[in-house]
This record gives sequence, structure tokens and C-alpha cells, in this order.
Amino acid sequence: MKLLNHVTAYFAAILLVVLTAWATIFYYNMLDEIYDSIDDGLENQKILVMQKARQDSTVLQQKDFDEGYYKIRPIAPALGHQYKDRYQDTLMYMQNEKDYEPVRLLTTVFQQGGQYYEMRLITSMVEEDDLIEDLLYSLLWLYLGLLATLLLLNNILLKRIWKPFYTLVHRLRKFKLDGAQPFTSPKSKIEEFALLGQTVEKLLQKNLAVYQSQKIFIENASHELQTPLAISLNKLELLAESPNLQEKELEQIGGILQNLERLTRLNKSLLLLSKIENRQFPEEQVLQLNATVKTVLQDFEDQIAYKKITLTQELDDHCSLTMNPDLANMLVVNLVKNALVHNVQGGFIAVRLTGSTLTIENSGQAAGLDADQLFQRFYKGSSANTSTGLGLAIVKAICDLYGFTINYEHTQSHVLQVKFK
Amino acid sequence: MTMKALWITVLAVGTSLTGCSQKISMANMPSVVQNGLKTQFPNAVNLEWEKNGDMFEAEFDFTQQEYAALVDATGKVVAVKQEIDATQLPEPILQQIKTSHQDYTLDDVEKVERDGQVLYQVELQKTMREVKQVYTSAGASSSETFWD
Repeated sequence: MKLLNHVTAYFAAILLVVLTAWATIFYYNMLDEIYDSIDDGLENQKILVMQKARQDSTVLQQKDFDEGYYKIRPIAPALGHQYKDRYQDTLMYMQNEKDYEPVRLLTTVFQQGGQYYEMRLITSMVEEDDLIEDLLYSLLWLYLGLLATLLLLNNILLKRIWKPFYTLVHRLRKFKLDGAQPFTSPKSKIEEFALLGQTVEKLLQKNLAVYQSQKIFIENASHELQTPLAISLNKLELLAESPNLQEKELEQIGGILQNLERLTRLNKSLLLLSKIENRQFPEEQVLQLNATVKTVLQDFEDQIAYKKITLTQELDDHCSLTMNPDLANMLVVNLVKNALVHNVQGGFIAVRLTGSTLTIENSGQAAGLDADQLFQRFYKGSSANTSTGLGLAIVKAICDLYGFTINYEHTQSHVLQVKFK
Repeated sequence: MTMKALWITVLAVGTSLTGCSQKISMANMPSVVQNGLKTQFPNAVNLEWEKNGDMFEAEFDFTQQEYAALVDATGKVVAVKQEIDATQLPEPILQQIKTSHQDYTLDDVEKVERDGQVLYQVELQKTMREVKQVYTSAGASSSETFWD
């Protein structure tokens, strides 16, 4: 549930309670006010009738409500003394309405010329159920109106207020430590959001600094290793050519040479990875991938033939990509090499290129590989000691750089598929 | 609790000091008595009733002046008192006051009508002293009791 809706829901509930309470109080106040004014009116009528009776004694003959709002009858003084002014709600049959209507009735006693008279006065009443109904409806409209206002406010005002927060979250989602985009916190006049942004920015800057220094260290280390490795290799080769060497010594020198060469490959791959991740291949051009695939497969022809591997290719010539040509080459090379190295004698490799995918299928060990770890550096599915375990890591790095996705599937064979779009 | 007890005592003493007259709410007033007053003073406002023995005393405002009236149980208005301005006092009374209380100042002046006769009640003040006097309109001192 979104924060805005949370606020709205709470408000709606609170409003309902508050409005109900308010309506009750308001209703009784209204009723009180209405009764007050009705009773005041009756009081006034009473005085008027009494004054009229003083001037015109025929008023005292009014025995019924027939054509007036009062009736008078003489009563005994002893009884008259006990009367207090009494206001009542009652029903009275109305000729014009042909129905019983609620009326307010005032009963009082006055004395004129030593004779006591009981007088009853009536006035029509507001119908309470009508009042309640009206109030309820108007209240319902008020509630709905308030809710609508609240929703409007939330969706316009609060959204605007919370905008920096959402922007921050959005930027954080997109942020990558190895990304080229630096993180900037969104500007906000609201102190808390500004603080949040600044705090996150500082945190990320620290992380970035650490990450950068680590990366530089790796680059430097592998770069500095190149020279001694090259020198060692050279010297060993010279040593191997010296005349008075025994068979055993030669074998050992050969072993050392092999290991040093592997170390050199490792180093080169690591350097390449760093370079890719640092985006040090800026130049891009539109290239046809089928040409690249063809040349790579030609380069590996000998090795494929040596392992007696059946190669099938279906190459669509409508796959044009905008990318660095060296990296395109490296992508294909590493995929093909991977399919070749982990293959079995007399196996098969199938290369399929469509407009948006490159799929390489190959036979190999029966067990599937862990798809999560497959693209990690130095992960080796097999114990082939010639592989550096960096090939697929390089492939993955190139894919990440250009926003391609790469998937691994294992059915009867191993399938690697790169989606360009 | 002691505070409460104190208040109750204060209230009890206070009410006992007001004497034998007691306030009556409008709802508890006999209709006859009320209507007797209302026919004579239809536009009375801020009406308050007190019971005084078997008489009822009403205090009210009428045409923006303070009035008081005594009404008996049959609703007959027995006496009416109204506040008047000192300048409205009859000349004989003013002369009388000048001679008998020359260093007093006039404070409250009231006109009382009872059984068709008109009396004037005057409160006179001097430092630390207050005198209440009742006069007839001729300026003579009346033996009638001062109606507070």
C-alpha cells in the first residue's frame, strides 16, 4: 500500500467518526434552536391573545381550534393555581392535509376579571424525520466532498511533496557501482529529504572510492605483472635452447613454461575485464555480426577438426549491431572457445544467429552447470586446466556493457543464448 | 475534600443570607402569575422570578430600563418599581434632599407604584455612609418600607 493511500485511508476513517459525532451534536443543537424559536412564537401568541381578550371578551368564547390556533375554557381557581406553562409535542388531525400532523401545544392559565381560564395554543411543527433525513443526506454529501478533496489533495499536493523521495529511490535503483553515471541526490526544499539525499550520496561516494581503489589496484597489479612474466618466459626459452640439458631438466622447464603462459593468459583476461568494465572501448560502429561469427569459426577450424567435432551453422545476415568491433569479436571468440574447450571428442557445436539472438549449443559433460555461478570469474565447470575460468566472465561483462542479456540452459546439451534486444 | 466542604459551607451560608426569597425557574412558575405580568409587560426581557412569602417578585428589563414587579398568586400586579434618572425626580423631593442631606450624593433613584400611589426611593451616599429614603411625590418622607 502506498504511503499516500495509507494517509487517505486513515483520514477517511477519522473523518467518518468526527463527522458522525459532529452531526449528532449539530442535530440536537438544531432541534434545540428550532424548539426555542417555536416556543418563543407560542409565548408571543399567548400574550397577544390575552391582550385581545382584555379588549374583546368574545375571544374567551373560542371553545375549539376550528378556525384558530387557540381554544379557551374557564376552570376552577383551585385547579388554575396549579398550572405551569407546559409545552408538548402532539399530533393533531389537519383538515387540509387529511392526516395527523405534528404540532407544538402550549397549555397555560390566565385570570381575567376574577375568572380563571385555561388556554391551549398550537403551532405547526417541523417534522423531525424530515429534518434527520435532510441532515443525513447533506452530511453524506459533505463526507463524500471531503473525501474527494482529500484524494485530490493527496494526489496533487502530497505527490508533489514526496517527489524528491521517489526521484531518489528511482536514481538509487538505476545506480551501479561500476556504472558511468555518478549519483546525485535530487534537490529538495524539504529538510528531511535533503538530508536523506545527502546521506545516501555520502555513503555511495565512500563506496565508490573504495571500489575505485580496488579496481585500480587490480589493474596495476596485472599490468605490472606483464613485464616480469615476459622476461621470465624469454629467459626460460633461452635456457631451453642451451645444449647441455638433460631430458628431465627440459621437461621441468617445459612445465614451468606452460604455467607461465597460463599466468600470462590469466593476466591478459583480467586486464581485458577491467578495461571492459571501465568502458575503455569507446569507439563504436555498425557491424554485421554474421561476418564476425564466420571469421571466428574459420579461425577455430583446425581445433574443431582436431577434436572431430560436427559444426552446424545457421547464420541470418540481418543482424547488425552498434558496438565496438574488438568487443564483438571477443564475445564470439569466447563463446566458441568455451563451446570447444568443454566439448567432448566427436561431439557437436551448433551456432544459430537470428536478427536478435546468438545461440551456441554444444555437447559436453552430462551434468548441467550452475547458471548463477557460470558467469563468475574463475568458475570452472570442468577440470580443464587450460581454461582460465574468465571466458564467460568476459562475455557477461560485454553483455552488461551493451545491455544484452545472456541465458544458460541445459537440456540434452549446453545452450548459451545472447539476446541483443 | 476540605476544599469541597468549604465551598459547601460558603454556599450554604450564602443562600441562607439571601433571606426568605428564593429563585424560581420559568418552568416552575404558576401560569396565572406569569400571565398576569406578561399582559402588562408583554415585551419583558431577562425575566427572573423570586418567591417572597405568598408573593412573587419579578425582575426584568422593559424598554431598556430595569424594572421589578410584585405579583400575587392570582396574577394581579400589586406593585411596580422602575429605575429612573435623578433628573426625573419631582422638584419638591430634590429641594427636600438639598436641605436635609446636603453633603450627600444621589446614587440610585427608583419610582414605585403601589395601590395607585406613587413613591420615590432614593439612595444617598456620603463617605462610608449610605442612607435609604422613601418620599412621596410631594417631597414628604413616607412611612412605607424601602423596597430593595
